[in-house]
Amino acid sequence: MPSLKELWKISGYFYRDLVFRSVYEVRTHKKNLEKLIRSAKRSMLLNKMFLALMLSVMAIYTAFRSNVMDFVIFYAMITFLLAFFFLQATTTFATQNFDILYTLPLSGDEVSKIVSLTFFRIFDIPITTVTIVFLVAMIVRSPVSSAPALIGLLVSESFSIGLVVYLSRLFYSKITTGSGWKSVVRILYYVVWAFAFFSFYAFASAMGWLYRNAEAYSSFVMSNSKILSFLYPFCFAFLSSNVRTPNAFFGVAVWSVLAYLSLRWATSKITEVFTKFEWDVEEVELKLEISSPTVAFLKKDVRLISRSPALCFLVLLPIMESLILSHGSVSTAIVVISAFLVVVAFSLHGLEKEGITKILPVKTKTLVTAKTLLVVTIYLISVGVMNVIFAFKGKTPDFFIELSTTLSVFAMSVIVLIIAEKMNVRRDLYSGLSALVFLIIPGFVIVYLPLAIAFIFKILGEDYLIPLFTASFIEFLLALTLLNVL
Amino acid sequence: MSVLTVEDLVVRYGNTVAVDHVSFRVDEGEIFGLLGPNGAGKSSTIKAIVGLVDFEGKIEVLGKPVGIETKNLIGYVPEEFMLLESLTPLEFFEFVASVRRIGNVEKVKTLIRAFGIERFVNRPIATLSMGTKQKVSVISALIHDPPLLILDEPLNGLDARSSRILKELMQRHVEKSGAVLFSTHIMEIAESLCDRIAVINKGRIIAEGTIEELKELASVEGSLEDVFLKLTGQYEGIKEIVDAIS
Ligand SMILES: Nc1ncnc2c1ncn2[C@@H]1O[C@H](COP(=O)(O)OP(=O)(O)OP(=O)(O)O)[C@@H](O)[C@H]1O
Ligand SMILES: [Mg+2]
Repeated sequence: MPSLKELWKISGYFYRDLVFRSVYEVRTHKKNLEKLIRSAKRSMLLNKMFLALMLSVMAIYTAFRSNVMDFVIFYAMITFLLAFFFLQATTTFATQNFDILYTLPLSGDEVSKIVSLTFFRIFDIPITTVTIVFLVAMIVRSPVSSAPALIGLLVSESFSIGLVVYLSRLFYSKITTGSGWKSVVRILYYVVWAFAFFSFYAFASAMGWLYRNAEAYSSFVMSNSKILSFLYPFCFAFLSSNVRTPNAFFGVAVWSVLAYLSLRWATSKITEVFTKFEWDVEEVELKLEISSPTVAFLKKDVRLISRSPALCFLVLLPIMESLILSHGSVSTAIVVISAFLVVVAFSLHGLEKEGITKILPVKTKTLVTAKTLLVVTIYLISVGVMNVIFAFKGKTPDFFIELSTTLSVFAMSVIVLIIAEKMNVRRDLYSGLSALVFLIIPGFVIVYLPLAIAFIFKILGEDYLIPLFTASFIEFLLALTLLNVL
Repeated sequence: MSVLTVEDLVVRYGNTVAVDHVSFRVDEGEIFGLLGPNGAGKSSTIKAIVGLVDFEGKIEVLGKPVGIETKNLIGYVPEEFMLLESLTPLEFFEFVASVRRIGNVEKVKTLIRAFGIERFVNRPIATLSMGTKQKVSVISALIHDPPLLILDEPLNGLDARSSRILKELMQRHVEKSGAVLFSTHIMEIAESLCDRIAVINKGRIIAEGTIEELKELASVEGSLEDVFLKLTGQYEGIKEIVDAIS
């Protein structure tokens, strides 16, 4: 029977394969493979270190403020942030092939462990770092509290993994397939799924806000400590900040057991979710709908997006953002939403990494048009959602600014996609930081230039709407011309 | 008439020269086999023709240099799947047919039935068995009735019935004045199907011709396998190795 150390080592091979496949698409190009693998490893490491740094800063801040509310927020943040990042990784992970494990003399349990460890490896550095940093900071701050604090953190980490496996299971089993009446069910699940993502996002925003107002809420928490001190993450937070109540001790015991169970459940289910999901075999009517190439690309992209948690999230982000931003002003909302759309445009191009596009007679114009239509649609939905909320609140939407920005979003998408296509940038968000910078900067310039011009006119006390529209319209015409000469 | 002309083809990956000044042509009505040991450069040659890798030299399909215009003239089955795994086969065919501007979908349905994958067309490709995936890959290469079929080890994973269908389709295809370029490691299949063969080793063509011509060249009486091993210099030592292992 292999030891945990050996299982860890085996998982390392799969992990390396996973990292390699994050740049797999470039394989067919005339490039130096070894260099590519190195750069994939490097950017994966950078991403991990960035996350580790972010979490460590939070950990130190929390440990040294030692306010009950700070701990509450910290534990909840760890659970949700990790779950959020884990979910991003599930799509790549789901395509990993673990079949070879079944041919080796390993028990089902060991296979599960290897799969889980491979999954864990995606976030090994951030999780280990934050745990150590938090523990050390707590020991320095208050040695007595460091034990419950550490347990609180481990429990949060376990919950995040449990949550990810639960959501992925839901996603892969209920959302990604089915036809006929099943597609109705699919849409329902889809809403639930979107909602789950939305709640993450809302949660993270709310937490950020709470952080800033932690002190004000502490008194509320303290006055309700009887009930709260039994709940996760409050029980851990109380003990971590030296507030000892019997309920909290009891709570810690119960939630630790639950966390352990959830981790065990996740480990046992992870193989089912990612390696051997079973599908119904059914006879179906052979129906094919032929459309124009542009529509075909659009349809294909919508399908791919609706079946990948990471992509689905990316596309829903601007829409969710607009929900949240509808509390503020139109201009802030538009500035933020259009920034997200640059990333959406870039990532939509990443969908063509599959290679099949290269053997089909596809014109750059077709590809760029299809994806731009999608980008503009996402923008319009986001703005539409925002306007509806504005209407409820009695605020007047600013259609003029929205229209102008639609034009520059169109221009941005066309130009970013043309650069991506011509430069042959075939990477996704996780593998190519430099490519990201290459495309994102021009993208930002295009969406923000008209807004910046308008802003200058506004400071000068002049009418800024005409300059805004003119600048956007020029960009739009430029993009349209570019699209047609291709 | 020449359907495919390859002249002085060079494919590099960094410092590796995978294909080294290769020239050959495939004529109308001809099944042309590319044989060679692992890593010889068969797939790289094929990838250059279909537009998956950059190359130096000249490649023409029906007199046109390869590019976007030649893509509808070629049906390609890659050695590793190039499918959109989260789509279902039906959605995948729909996408490919639309982009290729196919009006008539009856052909697609006929192919689905011919390869017997009706039961699988509605679940994600990712969940299909290797052989079924290969069938999806083969069907997607045939739906636009291309004059030139390029098949990189197409019989990989296919069951007996489907291999037979594919082999007969290849023969029918050339009878209707199409052309086929295909690579395989199965000598019996090459022997029974190919009109002409090029043996490629370390990126270079070391022999080319009909099976009879190759036998003469290698001065070997026997199967194509013997000829192949002799030509690629792999004949010696096989017995010793087997003896040593067992
Ligand atoms: N993407 C790549 N990057 C670097 N080297 C590559 C790449 N693809 C192929 N090669 C190398 O090019 C050479 C030719 O490979 P190719 O795939 O063309 O061989 P093949 O004849 O198809 O072999 P097989 O029978 O194993 O399929 C090999 O040495 C291989 O290692
Ligand atoms: Mg090959």
